[in-house]
Amino acid sequence: MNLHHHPTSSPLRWQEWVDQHSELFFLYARQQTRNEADAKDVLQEALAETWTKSAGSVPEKAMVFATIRRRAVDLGRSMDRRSKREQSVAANQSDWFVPDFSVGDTRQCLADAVLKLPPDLREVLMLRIWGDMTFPAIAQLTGVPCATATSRYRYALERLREKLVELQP
Amino acid sequence: MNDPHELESMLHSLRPGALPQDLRQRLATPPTAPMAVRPVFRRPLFVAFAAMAAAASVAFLLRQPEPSDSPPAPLSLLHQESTLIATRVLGYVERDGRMWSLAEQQWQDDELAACSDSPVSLRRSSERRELVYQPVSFD
Repeated sequence: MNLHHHPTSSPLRWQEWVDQHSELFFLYARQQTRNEADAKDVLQEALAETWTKSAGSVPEKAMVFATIRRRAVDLGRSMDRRSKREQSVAANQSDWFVPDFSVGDTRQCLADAVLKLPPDLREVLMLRIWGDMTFPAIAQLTGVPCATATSRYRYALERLREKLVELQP
Repeated sequence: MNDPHELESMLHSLRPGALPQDLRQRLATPPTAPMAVRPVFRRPLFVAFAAMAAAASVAFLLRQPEPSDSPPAPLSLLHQESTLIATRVLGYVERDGRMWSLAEQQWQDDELAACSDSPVSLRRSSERRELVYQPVSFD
């Protein structure tokens, strides 16, 4: 895995990095936070922190995921006064994925089913599918044994498969 | 849908939604202050000492029966210690022919400062976490 060297403050490099990866990181930030506003704040702070800490290099995805997770946990602890209403708002957002109406309902149903997964299963699924992380790396990031991370991924796929089977005529 | 690879393929075809416009604007410019090289005066430390200096000044003034034109008593740092509490490896990366681990370190900072003109001492203890790269050696 090669790291790309660049001046830390280069606006072009920053913009290129943001354009390439921010949607993925925002997906994870949404998964980790209770509402859209928190996800935006956490993502902005995490990207700024990892960018400045990785002086001279484009930050590794694992580092960004870990920073998002840590900041979301810290924010969650400090904001425990917030109502559960906001949590449900975040969980019901329908634009976590790009809709594609040309392929029928299946993909949209799959996207909805992903959002309805339990958070621990959904986190592993997201890191594996869209974050392209290995199970050992996911285990390190989430603080669970590797076997647990693998099981969560398998359970997540199983639940999604059941949802899709229900849709078949 | 019994083929797991088919389901994974469908999941891969879902693309994360676009960034909201306001967030995209917030990310339009790179952060300016580099954090990789730690400055001599770290901001949390500076803020803590500013607070300590203010507290010591107030304590000093309260001890005086009458207002005085003399400057606030200076603070001196008696003890400063940073202790590494825990390290958690998050992943590994290969760079320049070497393996590096990405680790989260948990530190505890303890500081003791005293006012030289009065028996006022202030103790501060805080925890912080840092993400660091460490070289991996294979012995």
